[in-house]
Parts: sequence; structure tokens; C-alpha cells
Amino acid sequence: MPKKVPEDIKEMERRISALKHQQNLNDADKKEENIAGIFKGLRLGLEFASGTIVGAGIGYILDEVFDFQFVMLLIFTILGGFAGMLNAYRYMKSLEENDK
Amino acid sequence: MSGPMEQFEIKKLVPLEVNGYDIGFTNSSLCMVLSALSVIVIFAFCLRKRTMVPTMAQTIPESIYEFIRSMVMDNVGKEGMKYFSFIFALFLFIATGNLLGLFPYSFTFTSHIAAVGTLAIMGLLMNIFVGIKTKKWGYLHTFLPKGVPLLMAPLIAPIEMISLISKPFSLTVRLVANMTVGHIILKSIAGFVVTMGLLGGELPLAFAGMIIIFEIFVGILQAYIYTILSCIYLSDAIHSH
Repeated sequence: MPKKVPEDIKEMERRISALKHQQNLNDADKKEENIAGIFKGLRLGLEFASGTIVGAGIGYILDEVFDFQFVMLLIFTILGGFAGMLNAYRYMKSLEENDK
Repeated sequence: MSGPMEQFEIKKLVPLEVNGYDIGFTNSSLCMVLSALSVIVIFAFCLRKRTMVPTMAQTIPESIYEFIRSMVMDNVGKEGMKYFSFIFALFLFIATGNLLGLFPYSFTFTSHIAAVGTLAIMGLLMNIFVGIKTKKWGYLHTFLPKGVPLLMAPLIAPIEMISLISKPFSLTVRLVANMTVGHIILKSIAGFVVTMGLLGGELPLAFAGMIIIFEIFVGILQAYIYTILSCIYLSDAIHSH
């Protein structure tokens, strides 16, 4: 004849399985957060790079049109870098606002 | 066997030149026309019987409509509904373009900077137009935010201008890079199926099948990202400063 399991042990098992279930859910959340983090990081990098590239492009065109040699390329690449940083900063700020 | 990059080659179908400008009809143009036509045909077919209680077919366009409508409402607000048709068309055009590119012998026009860049520039011009229309001269504050000393204007204004122009650039690069990379991987793996033949070719075939499913997901996701970012930029033009 099987031994009867006391009620409090059954209750404890239920609680353990509920906790385990919660833990699994939390792990899944973390994994999703990591994937979302990768996309956010990629976008951040792209924002920064696109500012620099567009700045360099504008500088290059100005050099070609007005024959400034390389001065505009130099100035606009730096300004583009700043613009990229500004875009990346704005993106981070929007993420922060979303988190709140 | 053709290389993985050959699928991106633009071939002229109908050569046409006006005043020295090449405006020939290419395989890229054909796919754009097909993409637009397929949307019209699918929507017309699904909405042929418009009933109060939607049929199975009617729910497809309705749910896409609701999805884009809520996206515009959430990101731009009620004022954004004036530009809903543009956003809706943008999403459908890119999504069908991405999906159409997955068919054999088809062409992915969304993997070309010229095509996607033009859409992004159109979006940028529309944002500038909307910004000027809603804020009049106040739109110039986009380039010199309130509170910035006038002395800083020569530095801040070009930075803000580059920041504005770089938005469509990053939008374009994101979509083009995703599409190009996906298709190159697909083509490379599909190439293994042919070279390995019956002895072990099944493995890359299964993998290619998996990648196609993944590409369908990526195609729709990228169209969604492109559209939602367009919404955010439009919202910036209407609300900010």
C-alpha cells in the first residue's frame, strides 16, 4: 500500500513547481531582453556610423563642387561624427523614456 | 553556377533613353510594378465582398489596416492620420517587395540603395514639408533648438542638418543590408545543395528551407521597422520643439 503524502508536503511541491515555472519565465524574459539588446546596440552603432558617413559625403561633395581640396571633407566628417553621436544620444534617451 | 552576387544585377528589359538619361525598364522596375500590382490584386480579391461580419479573406486586409492605423495613432497621434495612406502604402510596398524577392528568378529591389533610398528621401522631403506646414518659420528651430546661444549656431546648425539627413541614410542602410545579407546567405547555402548533390545535399537543403522561413520573418520585420521609424520621424516633424 503506497504511503500517503501529507497535505503540507503536497502544498510545498505545488509552491516549488510554481517557483520553477516563474524562474523559467524569467529566464525566457532575459533571453528576449538580450536579443532586443543586440538590435538596440546595432541600431546605436548604425546611427553613429550613418552620421559620420553622411557628414563625410557632404564634405566630399562640397570639396568637389567648390574645389576646397580636402578642407570641407575634414570639417564635415568631424561634424558628422558629432551628428552621429547626437542621434545615438537621442535614441538612448528615447529608450530611457520608453523604459519609464 | 552563378555567384551569390549575380542575383542583385540589374538587367535592362526595355532600353529607353530620353535626353541622354537612361530610363529603361529593368528587372527592378518590373518587380516594383509586380509588388504594387500584387497588393492591389490581393486587396481587391479579399475585399470583393464587404460585409459587416468579415469573412476569412476580409480579415487579412482589415487586420493589416488596423495594425498600421494603431502604429500611426501610437507614434504620431491623431494628426498623423492625414498621412496614413502614405505610411500604409510604404509598409505594403516594402513588405511585398521583400517577400517577392524570395521567389526563384525574382529580384529583390529592396536590396538596392537606389530604390529604398529614394523612398527614404521621399519620406524626408514629406517630413520637411509637413514640418514647415505645421510650424511655419518655427520649423527652423529644428536646426537650432530653443535655448541654444546664437554664438553656437555655426556649429549646431550643420550638426543638426547632418543629423536630419542621416536619418533616411540609416533607414536605407538597415533595410538594404538585411535584405542583401539574407539573400547572399540563402544563395550560398543553396549552392551547396547543387555541388553536394544526392550525397549530403539534403542537409543544406533543409538549412536553406529554414533560412527562407527566417527571411520571410525578417522581410516583414524590416518593413515594420522601416515604417515605424518613418512614423517616428514624421512625429518629430509635427511635434518636436
